[in-house]
Amino acid sequence: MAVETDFSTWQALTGVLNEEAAALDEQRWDDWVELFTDDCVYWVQAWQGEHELANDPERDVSLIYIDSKAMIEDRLWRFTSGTAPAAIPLPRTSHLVGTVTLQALSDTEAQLRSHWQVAAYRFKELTQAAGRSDYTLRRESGRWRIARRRSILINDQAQTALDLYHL
Amino acid sequence: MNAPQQPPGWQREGLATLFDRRPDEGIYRVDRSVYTDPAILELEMEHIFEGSWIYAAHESQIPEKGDFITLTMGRQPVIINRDMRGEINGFINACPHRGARLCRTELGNRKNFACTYHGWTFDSSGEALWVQREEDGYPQPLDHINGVGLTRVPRVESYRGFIFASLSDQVPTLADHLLGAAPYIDMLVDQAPEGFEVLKGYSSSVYHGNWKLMLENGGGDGLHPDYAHASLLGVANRKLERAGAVQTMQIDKMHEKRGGQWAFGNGHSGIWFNFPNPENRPIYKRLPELTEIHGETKATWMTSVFRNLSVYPNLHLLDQMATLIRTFRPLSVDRTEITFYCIAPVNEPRNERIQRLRQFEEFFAGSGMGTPDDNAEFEECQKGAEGRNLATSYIGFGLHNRHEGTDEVARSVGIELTHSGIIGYEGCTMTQYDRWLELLTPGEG
Repeated sequence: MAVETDFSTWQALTGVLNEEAAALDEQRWDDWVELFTDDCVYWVQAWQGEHELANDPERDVSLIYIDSKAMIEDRLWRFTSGTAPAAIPLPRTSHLVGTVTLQALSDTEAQLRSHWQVAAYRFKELTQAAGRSDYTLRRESGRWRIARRRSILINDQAQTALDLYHL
Repeated sequence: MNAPQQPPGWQREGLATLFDRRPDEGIYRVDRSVYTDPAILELEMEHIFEGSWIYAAHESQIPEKGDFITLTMGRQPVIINRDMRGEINGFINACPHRGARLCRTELGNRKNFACTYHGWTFDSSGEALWVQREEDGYPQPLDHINGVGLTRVPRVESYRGFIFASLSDQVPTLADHLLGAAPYIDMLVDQAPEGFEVLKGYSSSVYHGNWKLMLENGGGDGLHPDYAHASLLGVANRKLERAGAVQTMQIDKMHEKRGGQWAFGNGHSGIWFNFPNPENRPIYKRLPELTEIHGETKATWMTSVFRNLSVYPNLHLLDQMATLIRTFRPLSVDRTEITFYCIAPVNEPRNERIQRLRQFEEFFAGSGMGTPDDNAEFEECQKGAEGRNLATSYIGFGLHNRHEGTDEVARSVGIELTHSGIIGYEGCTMTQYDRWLELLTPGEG
């Protein structure tokens, strides 16, 4: 159920999603990582057959389950360190974010859903990822940050690699 | 039977020329056309993936009557199910009428299999229940079992929950196939009094490379972690001082630890070494009770030793950075699909489960921080294999000082070996190609 808000709040909230996409595509990694809260949860669910999801990250397998900004920084360090063959070279990416809806809003917390398609290009080959994400944004010292991003990736068969910049 | 056309030249003598096999001199060279030649893949499909035992599934994936999963053995679509009597079966996933696939989802539960094309229906043990207008269309009643029943996969057998299958009935018993790999499997299964189960949430990954590159990597490449996985080792170090972080099992400088690489026969192989930080494994908390049941030596092996097991040709049973089934199959000569199943003791305590999941997700599957780097290297090997002016790979590490037969360490845990060597021992790859030659040239060995 979508909720309504004023235009400037809407811009501030969707601006976080847009900046996440742009920072990844432009490889502004420091800007990207600053979008997350220290205790952020970044979760990409695994599937169990065609239409069932593995829903419990403490009992079931996830594709990615990160529960701190430090773990995002680990991933970032890895794929920019020059020591990870899957990221030498990194792909070019293009994130398209759309159909954003505001699900809930308070002074300090907002929930949004977005749908996305990401094109990645490496060694002259294009791969695609498509899915949707439920975000919890938290307002910290006047700035909205990502406290939780739960993602569902429809094409979960990884082509060589599946990392945060593909999502 | 339509025997596939054998390409000229690939008789046993032709295939043997792909190898320069002089282990006593430390020389073992493999012609890289084994990775690139589509005619060789055809032979592998016929004689290995459709002609011998391969790993199919784990029993916990089909716990209830009527449960099924679909998979591809070689090129052939297959259903593995548990029928209404509780028996495990394998069927060709094609309607005997006109060949449409009966099951089109990855998994499900069905008492009967009804073909959506013309309606023919079969029970869960493969017997035809209903054929459209049978009395109108055929001169006499059809034989619902042998005539129009489902075609069985000739051999389907389990070893301790792991289901193996063969599309040829001309294979040895499963025990004769597994050899020393069986007690290595026991060291995993015996950790859990109620058995292991495949956890919910599996995934697959595809790389642009030959299937044997995955096989060789998991079956005994003890030389790659410090390099291909340098980034993961870096992440492990970053986490060491971080409070509350699920720590990574340390695999750097494996060769400086007590360990070795083993060939079990029939192309099966393994790597083992003593973990420097076994206390970070979820199963380590079970050490006291496992010691009571299995004795100190075996319990230490179960809880504290990195163990890779490669069961030729398509199963890696890993009990190391995490505990999982990794199975793989060729999609074409230069494309391979790998599927990852995290496994855990039934009724595992919550905290141990969380630790297990995080360790699995960190390294494995296409979304981990280990698998993608292996995949990337397989792809580079595939590209490099096209460099025909450099036609062979040099796979000779540790061959000259290998140990023939079972060694004392293996004997202490009841395992028979054919040969073994130091960490990095590329005799594990040699044993795979020895098996490869045996299987591709049946009756000529």
